[in-house]
Amino acid sequence: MERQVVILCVEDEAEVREALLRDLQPFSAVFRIEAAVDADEAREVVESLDGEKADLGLVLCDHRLPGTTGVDFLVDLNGRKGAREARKVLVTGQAGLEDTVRAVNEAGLDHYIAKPWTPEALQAVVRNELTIFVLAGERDLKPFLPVLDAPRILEAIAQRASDQ
Amino acid sequence: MPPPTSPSDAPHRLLLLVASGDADRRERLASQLRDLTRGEAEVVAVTDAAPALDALESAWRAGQPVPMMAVDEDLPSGSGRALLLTLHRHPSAEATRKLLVAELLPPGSLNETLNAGALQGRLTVPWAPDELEALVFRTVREWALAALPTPDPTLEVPRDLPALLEAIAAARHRMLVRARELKLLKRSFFVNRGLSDDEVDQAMIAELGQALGHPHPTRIPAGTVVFREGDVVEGIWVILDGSISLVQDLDGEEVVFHSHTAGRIIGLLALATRRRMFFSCRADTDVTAWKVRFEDLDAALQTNPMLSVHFVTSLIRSLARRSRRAVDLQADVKRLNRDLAEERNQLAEALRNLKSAQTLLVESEKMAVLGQLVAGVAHELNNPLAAILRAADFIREDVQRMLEACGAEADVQAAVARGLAETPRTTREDRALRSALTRRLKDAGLAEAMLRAGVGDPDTAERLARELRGRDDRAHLARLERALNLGRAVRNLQSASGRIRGLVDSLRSYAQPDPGIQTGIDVLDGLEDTVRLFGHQLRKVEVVRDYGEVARVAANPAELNQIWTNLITNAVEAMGGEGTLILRTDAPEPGWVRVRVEDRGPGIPPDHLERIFELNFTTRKGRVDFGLGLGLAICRNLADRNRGRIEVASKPGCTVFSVWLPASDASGGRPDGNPNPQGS
Repeated sequence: MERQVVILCVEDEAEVREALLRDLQPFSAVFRIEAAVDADEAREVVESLDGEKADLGLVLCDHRLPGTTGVDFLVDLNGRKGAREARKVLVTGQAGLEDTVRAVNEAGLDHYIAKPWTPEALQAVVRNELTIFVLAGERDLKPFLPVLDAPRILEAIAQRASDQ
Repeated sequence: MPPPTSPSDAPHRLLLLVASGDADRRERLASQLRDLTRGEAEVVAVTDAAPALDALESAWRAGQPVPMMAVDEDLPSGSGRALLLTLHRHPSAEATRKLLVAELLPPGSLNETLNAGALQGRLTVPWAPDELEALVFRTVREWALAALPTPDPTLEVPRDLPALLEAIAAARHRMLVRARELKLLKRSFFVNRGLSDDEVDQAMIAELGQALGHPHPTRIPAGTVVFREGDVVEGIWVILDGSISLVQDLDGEEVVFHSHTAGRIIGLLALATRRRMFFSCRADTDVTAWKVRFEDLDAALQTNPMLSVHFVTSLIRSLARRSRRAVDLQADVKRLNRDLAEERNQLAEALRNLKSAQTLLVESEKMAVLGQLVAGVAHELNNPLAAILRAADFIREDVQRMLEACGAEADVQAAVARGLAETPRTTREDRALRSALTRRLKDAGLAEAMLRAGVGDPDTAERLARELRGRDDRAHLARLERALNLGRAVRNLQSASGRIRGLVDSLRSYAQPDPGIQTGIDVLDGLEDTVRLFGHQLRKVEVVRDYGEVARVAANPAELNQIWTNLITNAVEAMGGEGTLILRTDAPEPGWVRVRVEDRGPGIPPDHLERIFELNFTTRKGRVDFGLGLGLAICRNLADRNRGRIEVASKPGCTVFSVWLPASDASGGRPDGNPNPQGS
């Protein structure tokens, strides 16, 4: 694995952020997990990835953020080079229909997780989204087998072998 | 009514004048004339020209007609012919037929008199009686035909003198009567002007009765309909006694147009204009009346001028009464319409008010139900919340005791304690530490594990890495990590459930069941509750608090909360969700507390300011904006109910809503019911 794949978690409330990070621990063996409290910090993290041989693979984002909304941030992110391909998930209890529609249409939102979440559901979503991401972009799929959707990854490995 | 009579008005007898100097001839002629006229005419005999002239003049002055005078050729003062020529030019004798009484005269001696027209006949002496009678008959008849102003055909009929005289007398009587009547007619309505309506009616009825030969009156029982609307009229009713109403059928309802204004003559208008009856005529009481056919009425009116006068007067007066009544009715209709319009406006206004009241009622009912629901939920949350809070406390105590009792490694116990106590690092600090550790340890995985185990200090991390080398270093780090996480989880549990307690408290005080107006309310409690509960709307809003020292107020706290909620959410909406919201309290007037909610939004246009407290006022055409319109209408309503008031001032970039509430402190002095401390 020549480049790291990063999971970015944007959540301003410390207790919630810590809970999310802990629920994401199963993925930490393969993925780098970053956290940010607001959109500005999240952008800093995304910008810093270029120089660190890392790709943004998944963004988990709260909707209510200090000074902005998660949807605005995701829309902005979707316009950035290197972040467009990242899978985008809203984790929120408070996004209205209008915002959500905008997130789907303009930010390429991939999934919506309602608070409070269950760790199983959260992990299933993250596993699925990251599987989609690595299948699309990663050459070496083997490292992801332990934490992602093994059957699909194996299928893809077999497919690629036969293609060659 | 017979024409009035007086002695001076009595018709004079005709005067026949005889003038002769010869006493014998004079007396014979006079005596024979008296016999011939049988007292129908007065015969005066004089001796000479002068007394003849006197007699003529006196008769003329008295208005006594002189059809004939016989003048003897022999008069003491001269010839008869000379007298006739003189008299001919005298007005008193102009109409009088003049005869000359003489013996045979020489031929041509009468030429001058005849040619002058001064002589109309000649009696030759001696005369035979029948000759005299024929002469007098012819002479009087000629006079009558010429002198009576209207040629009267009855004068052509008589063949002898007495019959002629009688006919003349009758004709003269008729003339006299007509003259009197004409004199009255000239004054007709003025004659009646002094009479009351009833007197005119009575006079008319008397005249009509006489003209019709006092017909037998018809008795009409009360309730009888004499004419129906639309009837063809062939005669009139003259009401002698009782009363009649004129009514019309209006959409099945009988409407009385005239009762006392109906008058005595019923049906004439329809008769005269050959129309059908305009009204139905119904007897209100038992009525006695004459039914008069058109022909009979016409004949009576033609032969009796006084009847015409009274009839027309009666009719005009009754028409005048009806016309006045019509005007009154018109005025009544106008008045009624005006009253009706006013009533309709009042009803419409009442309906509007009712609708407004209903909308407010529905809304406040909704709020009340919502409040109950929220209060109920908040209450229900208390038990599980209390359990969670206590459980978190118990876990905190038990975890540390248990680790101790189980003989856990000291650094594991320390990690738990750190997790419980530490202030969480920011994500930025985390990243900085991680890169520092990675640089020092030259192992990103180990650095990550150290960080997760709570080892942040690079020196400690390096030392720990050395100690652990060769041991199951990762397993120990994982234990430390769990210990740290355990501590953090308990800490998070306590802080998160503490926040829930704060929210539930705010909810409960915000949505408490309607407590009514209470004294000693601190406006800050409600304001801060509201800010806390609507905190999610205020994330991008800077809330500035400028709380001056204010007295407590007498108010309904639940209603105050509703006011603060509406004002704060309006302010945030006006600013598009971000900007500066300023909450101020002060007391510029003794006995009053002022709470101001100020935003830095675009401001309210001046022409909207007046109306923003109106119900359903909307700033978007065709769409009711309940967020603004209803909210502010409710605010004003609630402020009124709390004996306070709400006002607004706005300019671009700054809108201030001020709520004035009566202070409840005894020292502050209660405002005596005046909710308008600024007197605006």
